[in-house]
Amino acid sequence: MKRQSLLQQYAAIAIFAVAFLAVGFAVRNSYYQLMMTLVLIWATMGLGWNMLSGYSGLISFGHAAFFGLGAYTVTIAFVKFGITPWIGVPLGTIVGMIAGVLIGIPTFRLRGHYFALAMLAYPLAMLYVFEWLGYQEVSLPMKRENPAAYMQFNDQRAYMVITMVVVVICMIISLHVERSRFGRSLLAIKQNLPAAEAAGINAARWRMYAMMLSAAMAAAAGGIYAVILLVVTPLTVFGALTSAQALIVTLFGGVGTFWGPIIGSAILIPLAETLHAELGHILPGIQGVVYGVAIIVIILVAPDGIYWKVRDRIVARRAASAPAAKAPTSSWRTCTQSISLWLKMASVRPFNESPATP
Amino acid sequence: MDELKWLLVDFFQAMAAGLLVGGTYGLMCVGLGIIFGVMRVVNFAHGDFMMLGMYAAFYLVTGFGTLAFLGPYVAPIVGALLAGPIVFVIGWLLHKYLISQVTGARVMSAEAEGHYAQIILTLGIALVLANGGLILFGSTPVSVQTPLSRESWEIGLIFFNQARAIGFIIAILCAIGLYLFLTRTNLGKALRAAADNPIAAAYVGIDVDRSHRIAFGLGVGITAVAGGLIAISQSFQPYIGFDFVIVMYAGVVLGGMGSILGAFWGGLTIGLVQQMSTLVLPYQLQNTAIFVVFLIIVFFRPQGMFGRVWERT
Repeated sequence: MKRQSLLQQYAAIAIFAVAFLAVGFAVRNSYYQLMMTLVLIWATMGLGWNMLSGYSGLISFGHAAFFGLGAYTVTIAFVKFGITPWIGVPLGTIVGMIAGVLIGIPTFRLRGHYFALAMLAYPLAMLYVFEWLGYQEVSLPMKRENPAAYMQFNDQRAYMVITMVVVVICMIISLHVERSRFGRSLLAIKQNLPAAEAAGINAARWRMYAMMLSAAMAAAAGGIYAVILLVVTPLTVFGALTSAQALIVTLFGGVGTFWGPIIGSAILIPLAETLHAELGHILPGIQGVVYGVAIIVIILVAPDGIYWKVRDRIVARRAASAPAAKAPTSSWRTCTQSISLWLKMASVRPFNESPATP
Repeated sequence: MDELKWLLVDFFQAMAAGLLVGGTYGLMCVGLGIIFGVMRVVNFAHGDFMMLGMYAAFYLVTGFGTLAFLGPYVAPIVGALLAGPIVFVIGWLLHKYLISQVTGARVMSAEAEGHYAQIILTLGIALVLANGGLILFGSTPVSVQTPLSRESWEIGLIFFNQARAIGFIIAILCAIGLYLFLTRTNLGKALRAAADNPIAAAYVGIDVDRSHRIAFGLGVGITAVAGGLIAISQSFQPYIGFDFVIVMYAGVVLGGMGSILGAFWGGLTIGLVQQMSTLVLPYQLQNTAIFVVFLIIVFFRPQGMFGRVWERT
C-alpha cells in the first residue's frame, strides 16, 4: 500500500468537515444539532489527549484540568470583565498552555502509573479550589444587543461551524505532528525512552511541546463547551468523568492517529447521549456505564482502537488479493515497527527497573 | 493564656479526629497495598469497591434491616465486617474474568504495556461500578444509622466520636489480623510469594492464578470493611469512590510500595493530614491538602517511609 500523501490527508479532512456540516445543516432538530456539536467538542478534547498520551505514551488522567481552566477562563473573563468569548477562548487556550508547562515541569519526572496518578490529582485539587473560591455554578449572561459579538447565536449551527473550525485546526496540527520529526520522536519515546535518549532525542523538550499543544487543545475544547452550555460547574469541567471521556473516545477510536478521537467521539457521544435522554430518568448513570463497558471491551478486543483494527483488516485483505504486495501491514505500522525494532536493538535494559517483576 | 489553651485544645481535637479517621484510612490502604504495593496491579476501581462495601453494610444494617436484631450498637460493626466477604466474592469474580486478562506473568514482561492495559481496564470497571451504583442505589446520600455517630466520649477537653473510635479499634484489629494471616500462615505466605514473584512461586508449587484471585479479593474485601466502618460516621453516595482513590494511593505510596505495614502508617498519616489541615485551611480544601501531600511525596520521596529504595517511581 502506498503511503498516503499529505494532500490526500488534507482532502480527507476537508471531506469529513464538509460531510459533517452538511448533515448538521440538514438536521432540523436543534437537540441533534447540539449533540453533533458535542461530538466535535469531545473530539477536540480527545485530539488533545491523543497529542500527549497517544503519541508519547504517558497516560494522563488529568486532562480535565486544562478543560476546566479553559472553561473557567472564558466564563470568568465574560462575567467579571465583560470580555467576549471571541477573545476568551483564545485566552483560555493560552491559560491552558501555561498550566500545561507548570504541570509538565514536575510531573514529567514520573514514570508509568505514577504519572497517571499524579495527573489525576491536579483536576481534583482544582475542583475543590474552585468550589472554595465560590464558583459553584457560574452562568454566562445573555446579551440582548449585538449577541454575535459575544458568541451568542440563536442558531445551533453557528456553534457547530465554530467548533468545526477548531477541530479542523487541531486535526491539521496533529497531522503535521504525526508526519514530522516531532511525532516520530514522541513515538520513539513511547517505545523505549532510554534508547530514544541514547539516539539523541531530547525527550524532555519534545514531551513538553506535546504537553503544551495537548493542554491548549483541551483548554480550547473547554472554552467552547462553556460558551455552548452557558453554565459551568466545577464537577462538570474538572470531574473525573471529563478526564475519562477524553481518554475513552481516543482509545475507542484509535490511539496515535488523529482520526481516532473523531471516530470514537462520533460513535460514543451520540450513543451515550441518546441512552441518557431515553433512559436517563430510569437509569441515571447509563452514560457512565456505556463508557465503562466501551473501554473494557475495547481493551480486551482491540487494544489499539477501532481505526487500527479496521485498517489492519483492510490491509490484510488487500495483501491477500494481491499476493505480490510488499508488506502485510500498513505503511505507518511498518514504520513504527521498524523504529521500535531499531530502538530495541539499540537498547540496553535500564538498570533501575524493578527487578522483582520478571 | 486562655487563648493559648483553646488553641491547644483545637490542635489536639484535630489530631484526635485525624487519628480516628486515619485508622480506617490505614485499613483501606492495607487493602490497596496488597493489590498495588505487592501485586503491582494498578487498580483504579479500588475506591468503588470501597463504595460497594459501604452499600453492603448499609443494606445489611439499615436498608433491609437484616441485622436489626443485633441492636443499634452491634449491628453496624457486624455489617461492616460482613461487607468484607461480600466484596471479596465480587473482586474474586472480576479478577477471574476480567483483570487476570491484563495481569499476571504473561503481561509482566512488557512492563509499560501491562500497566497501560490495567489502568484502562480498571478505569472502565470503576466507571461501571460507580454509575451502576447510581442506577441501583440512587444518588441520595445515605448512611448507616446508629446512635453511635451522635455520641462521643470525653477525655479531658477532647471529644472522641464513638462511631469513629469504634471504627478505629476495629480497623486496627483487622489490620493486625491480616498482618498475622499474611506473615504467619501458609496461605498468607503463598499469597505474598505469588504476588511478589509469580514465576518463582510457580516453581515451588504455588497455584499462582488462584493466589492472585484470592489476594485481589482479599485486598478489595479489606477495603470494603474499612468502607463499612466509614459508613457508620459519614454519609455517602455512589460517586464517593473517586474521592477516596487518591487518598488510598497517597497512603500506599507514602507508606512505601510493597510494605503492608507501611501502607497502614501511610493511611494513618493521610488521615492526620486531612483533619489537621482544617486548622490552617478552609474546610473545603482538606482534600486538596491530601492531593498536595500526595504530589509532594511522589516527587520527593517516591520510595515512601518503609519502601525499598530501588522500588521507586
